[in-house]
Amino acid sequence: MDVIEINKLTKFYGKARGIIDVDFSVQEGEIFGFIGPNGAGKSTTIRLLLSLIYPTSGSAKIFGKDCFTQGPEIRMEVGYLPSEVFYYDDMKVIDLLKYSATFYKKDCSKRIIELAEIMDLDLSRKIDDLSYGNKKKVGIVQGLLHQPKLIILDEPTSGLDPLMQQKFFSLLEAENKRGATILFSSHVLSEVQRLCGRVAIIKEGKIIKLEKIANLQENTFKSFKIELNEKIDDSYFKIEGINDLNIKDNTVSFLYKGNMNLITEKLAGIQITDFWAEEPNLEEIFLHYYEKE
Amino acid sequence: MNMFLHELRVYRKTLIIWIFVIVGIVLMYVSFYPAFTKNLAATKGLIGGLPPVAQIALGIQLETFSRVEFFFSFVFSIVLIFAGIQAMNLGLSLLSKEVRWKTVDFLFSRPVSRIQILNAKLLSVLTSIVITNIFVTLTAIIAVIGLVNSSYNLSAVVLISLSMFFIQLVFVSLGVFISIFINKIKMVVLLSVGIVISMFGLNMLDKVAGDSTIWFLIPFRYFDLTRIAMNGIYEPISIIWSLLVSAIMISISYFIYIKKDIHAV
Repeated sequence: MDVIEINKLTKFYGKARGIIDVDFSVQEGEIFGFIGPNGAGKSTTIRLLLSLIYPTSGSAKIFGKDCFTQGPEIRMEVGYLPSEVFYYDDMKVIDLLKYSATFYKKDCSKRIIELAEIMDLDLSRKIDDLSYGNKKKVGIVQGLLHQPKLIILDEPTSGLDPLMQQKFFSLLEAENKRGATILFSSHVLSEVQRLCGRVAIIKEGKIIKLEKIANLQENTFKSFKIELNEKIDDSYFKIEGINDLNIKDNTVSFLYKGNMNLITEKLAGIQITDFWAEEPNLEEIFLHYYEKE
Repeated sequence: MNMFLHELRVYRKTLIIWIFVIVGIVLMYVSFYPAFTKNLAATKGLIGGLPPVAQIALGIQLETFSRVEFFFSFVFSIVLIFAGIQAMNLGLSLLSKEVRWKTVDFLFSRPVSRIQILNAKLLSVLTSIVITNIFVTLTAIIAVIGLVNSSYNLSAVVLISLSMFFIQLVFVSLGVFISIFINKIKMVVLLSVGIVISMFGLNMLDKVAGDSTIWFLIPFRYFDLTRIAMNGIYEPISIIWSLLVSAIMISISYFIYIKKDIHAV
């Protein structure tokens, strides 16, 4: 079953582009990555899903319900962690969390304490006195306290130290095992790589790639780096399938997708002193999409 | 209910301060009354020395001014400035405070509709002004009974005092209405003081000018306090007009706000 179905969703802020014809769906139980540079339209998409803003055209459904007419019902089962968290400064952490819990018509007090313990959060402090990282922890507890079926995270890790980030990720994995679907938006690719099964890459408001993380890494590109005895002609490696060709003095690097024999033939024809072929990391793949397409 | 209580908790301190301020002003002015009637001849001479235009603008009628309900109607027009500012603050902040505190994302991503949010907020503001009115009216009653020895028309005093509720209602609605069109209001107090004082000035000019065509734009004009002091009743138009104007402005605000984009902070 699809938990999120987004269909030709378009949003313009006046004349300014938000997103254009965004299409993707997230299946139940999936951890879905949503990556793209700042300003690509990740937050716009998420704000549309939460009906904080309304679309110019297109549709979006969560749990089979229309996001723009059945928002309150949908949000009953959604936990949302924004990239920057702000709460009522004069409230104590526990009071804010209790207030948030009153919206969900179930007893969340045990879960609040559990989550606060995991995230090492002092519930008795005033929100105003918290550091940025601690506010973020309040956000995490607030987003998870009602055990939502769908968790929407908008660049959630900024401000968390590496240890907390680990705890947060295991928390997410536990929630996912429990059955929660997760939409994880980020521009930090290593975290998407670690958690997500599939990703959508968004650039300038449009989805440019939708793929399994595994495919993205294994079946697409290899990263080559070659050291040579002498300079070679720029045109030597200009064959189909080669991208991001970079020749600097005696070093050649490029991404390659296609028949490997073509490359080995090319390599056999020149004098090589050293040679590397690696799985590209997501950053490279991403940069490739970001620059070329 | 949870949002309503949360809002009241947020308003609690400012509400107490406002009640103290307005009650204080009422007490202060009414306690002037005995001293004022003692030297009636001198006071009348002083007021009589004012140009007629000024007398009209201030809502003073020389013949009746010594009766406590007329005196009260005069001082209450000043009380209404403060009451107006309180109400305007409440109306302007209703939604804009969430933007200012950047809590708008938190609130609107809860599983409640925008109408429910607006209802809860509006209800808590109404509760705040009802509480203010109860305190102010009780103060007016107690002050008049305690301080005035001559005969008085208490129901006129009560009616004058309660006109504050309707005028506050209009200012709350106006505040909400204005806040819908401004994305981020930084200086709420400054804005409300500005608007209310200008309205008060317009009211004075309008009284001098007689029946003008823009009277309906001035909330203070809906209730003629001197006439209430004289007749001891409200004119139906006062009530109808203040309720109607409030209802229209609130309805438009709802209509626009439920479709409005909530922008990231």
